[in-house]
Amino acid sequence: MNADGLARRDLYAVSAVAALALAPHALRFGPGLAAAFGTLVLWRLLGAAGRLPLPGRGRPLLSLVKHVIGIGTLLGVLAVHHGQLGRDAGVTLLAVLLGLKTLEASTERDFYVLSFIAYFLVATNFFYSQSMLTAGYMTLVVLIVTAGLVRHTADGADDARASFALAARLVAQSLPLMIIAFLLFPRLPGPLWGLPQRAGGAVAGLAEELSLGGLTSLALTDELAFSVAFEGEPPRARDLYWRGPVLWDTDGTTWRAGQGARGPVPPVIVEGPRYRYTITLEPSNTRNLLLLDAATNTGDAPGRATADSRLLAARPLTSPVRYTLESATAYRLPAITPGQRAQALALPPGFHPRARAFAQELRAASRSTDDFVARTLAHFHDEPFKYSLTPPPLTGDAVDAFLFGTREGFCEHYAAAFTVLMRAGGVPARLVTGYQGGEFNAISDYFQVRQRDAHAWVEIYGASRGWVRVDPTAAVAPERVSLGLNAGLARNAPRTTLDADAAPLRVWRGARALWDAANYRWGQWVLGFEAPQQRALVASLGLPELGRSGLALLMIAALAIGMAGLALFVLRARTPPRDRAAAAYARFCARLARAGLVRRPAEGPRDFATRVAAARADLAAEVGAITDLYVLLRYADAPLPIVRLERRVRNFRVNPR
Amino acid sequence: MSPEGTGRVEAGVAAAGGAIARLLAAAEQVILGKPEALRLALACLLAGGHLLIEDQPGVGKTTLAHLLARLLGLGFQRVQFTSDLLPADLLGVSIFDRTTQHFHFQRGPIFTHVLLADEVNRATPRAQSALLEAMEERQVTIEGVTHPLPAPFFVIATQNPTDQAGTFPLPESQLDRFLMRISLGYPDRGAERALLRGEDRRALIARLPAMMDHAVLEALQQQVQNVHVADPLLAYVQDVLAYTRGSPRYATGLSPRAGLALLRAAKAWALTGGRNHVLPEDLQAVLGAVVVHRLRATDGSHGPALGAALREAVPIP
Repeated sequence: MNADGLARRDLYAVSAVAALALAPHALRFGPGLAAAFGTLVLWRLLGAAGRLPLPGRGRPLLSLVKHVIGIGTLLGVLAVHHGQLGRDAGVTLLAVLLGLKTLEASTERDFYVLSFIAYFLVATNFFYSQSMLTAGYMTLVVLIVTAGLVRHTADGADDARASFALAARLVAQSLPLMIIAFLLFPRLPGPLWGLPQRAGGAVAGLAEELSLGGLTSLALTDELAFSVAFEGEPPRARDLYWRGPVLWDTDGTTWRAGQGARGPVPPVIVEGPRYRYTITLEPSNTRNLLLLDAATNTGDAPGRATADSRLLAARPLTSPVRYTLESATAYRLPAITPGQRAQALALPPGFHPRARAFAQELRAASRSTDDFVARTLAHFHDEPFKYSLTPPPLTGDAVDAFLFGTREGFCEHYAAAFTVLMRAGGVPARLVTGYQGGEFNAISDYFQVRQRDAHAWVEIYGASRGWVRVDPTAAVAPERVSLGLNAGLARNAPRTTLDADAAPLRVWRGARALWDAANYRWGQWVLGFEAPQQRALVASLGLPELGRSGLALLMIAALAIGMAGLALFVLRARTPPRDRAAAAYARFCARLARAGLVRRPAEGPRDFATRVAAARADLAAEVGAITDLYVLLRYADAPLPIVRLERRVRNFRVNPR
Repeated sequence: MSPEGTGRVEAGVAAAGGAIARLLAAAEQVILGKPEALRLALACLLAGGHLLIEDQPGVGKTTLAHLLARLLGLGFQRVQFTSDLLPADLLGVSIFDRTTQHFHFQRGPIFTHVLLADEVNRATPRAQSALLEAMEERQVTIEGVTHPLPAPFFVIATQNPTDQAGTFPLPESQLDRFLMRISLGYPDRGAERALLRGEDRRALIARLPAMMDHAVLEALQQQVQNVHVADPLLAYVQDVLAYTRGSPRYATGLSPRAGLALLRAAKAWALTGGRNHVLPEDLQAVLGAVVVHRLRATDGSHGPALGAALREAVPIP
């Protein structure tokens, strides 16, 4: 079997490359895929070593086995994915078919087929992840596949390093074309491959409903929710309340948005500085467009404002969006409709009897609404309430159990309980969810808000000031609001043994900030380069607005020009200057050419120097000296150090006149 | 080469350059306003080649030949080619000497250092080929006896423009035997005025002292051989040859002999400039004189324009 047309070296190379391209998929799909692929490739490799018979001519049984595997995989995948050959099914099929193709690979042609399937596998990874890491890894795999092809094509040349160098050059030369295609390829609305429906709040961020416990899982993930870049000075950390869903209705256990979002958009009375900022929102599969409380101008946000002062996109967000808007952190929201007032006072009948009684008692003892709010907050502060991300489970009536039983919880417990108390005391109140704070990245000057920054707070309505934000969590763990989640937890938890300012930790934090900054730029410039940015680019080129087909034509034209340029470059590079003297002289001539003194191709160096001296008396001496050196080095083979010419050329400047 | 060796060669080259410059300066006193033609003619001689001057009668072809012979201290003969010129008139004849009862070879005018073959295209092809064979072989064979020509041997042939009546144009294969073809052209107004005012050129030449002799000339010719040609210039010569062979502008391309001639002429030209290495400019300076008579342009162009076009068409590598 070793007499086949495929060298064992090539077989090893292509198997390794296929495995590299498949590795991220294997991590996604679990060990089954890797096992299937690995078994097939192992079979082929053992066959090449003569340890196992391979399917092929003269072995009908094994060939049958091969076909059964192939058809079986196809039917199996179709069955699992209910007949739809979508993203996952396609990748699974491709992986198994790649294994089968490796198994039957025996000719030179098979090597090429396998290499090109590997290229395609690289592309499929981007259906799942478009992170910088994925892009980097895939570039590496493309480089390796190309190097394999180079090494295979170069007859007898067994130099892996030379193959890699050539492959790297090929990949580098294709970069301009890639950039053109990236900039001009017509963008399709929405992702090419529908994102899978994600479950609830775990990854997707804030849900439209809240039941006590929902936020816990969220608080523990480090996933990025959105990034914010402020134009100018950012607000104080304690003012960074990022508004998400506003929850009005409760059935005693779960809070929902209800009808509160309906109605006219209320005016905002600004009482302080305005901040302009740009949010890059990660896809959440919800319609929430987060904003800094309270938005005074919704800018180019792709959604509409609601009666409860939030922003809603037209459809769930499945790809990153970027929008710029304006907010003020000192503001008043005076408007309330009768319908909203009714909703902001409603409590489900029969629930939270102890909480209601407590609230009414407290209200009766209070002089005013403000006094009632203050007393309620003081209750949270003075009684032994604890801030914890892992509160004990609540049994029975959740709010009563929390307020009078466990007294241990996080923002959501405090916000829900506080809302119930307010409503029971006759104060209109609504529950607001969103994010609080954010991590400032000094390298790129922006904030990153992660899922663990999720927060819940309350807005109460007073006749004099309108809607006012009250954050009961701040009464229990004020650090949570001013310093962030970890500080809030540290109040209860023992300090970590590692000193927070220790050098390794500082280095780690610095590296992380750098990585985050790079990722942010990646998101802004690469992933965020969507149809609007593309339109802006085309407009900045002075072109009229182009449709998708116009863009495609523009891209093809640009690619053609790019390829022509590349071809010219390659052809020119193929006739290299014969020695360093010639190269130095070429640089010297290029400098003069930029000043308008162009040497004709058939003009001798001395003739050229004479002409330059006649045109520019100020250059005569230096041009003459360099030309003499060049002539001696190149034509007289004079034993002069070449660096003398190179240094003079390097220092040669043509001052514009 | 050791540093001292290099230094000695350079000193020799500088001395040669100085001697050549003085000689040319003297020549320019006689042939007015033609320094380039003079230098080309001298370079041709130093390169050991023969020179063809194609021009109208009366522009100083004969004077040039006479002058060079005089300044270099060489013997000089002039043969007027006519349609009835026989090879024997040029090469010589064997005469039966009655006193010794032996044939005695009577040398013809070709046995000299500088031979001026005037109006070479008026002679019959038979006479022409006798000259050209002698030029190539540098010897004459008559009745089985070979008589070497003196060294150095330098033919300056003049030719009237070929469209004149009663001419036998030299075939291309024979034109190839001339290292260079130049034309003198009419002098410019100032030079002509000086010519008219001055005394007779012949008398002037007769009074000039010889500035070199055989030995010096041979040493110079030896030095031409040693002029350095760097690889890029060989590539340049090859590019020129390849261009004439590939371009549709020429009916035939240049032969390898033309390439050798170009190099030899460029080396001699470099030496007349006091250098022991060839520059691209040296090649360009001799390009027109060396290649134009070996090329036939398809568009009928000839002369300096053809040379200039070729020079501009081939980039210096």
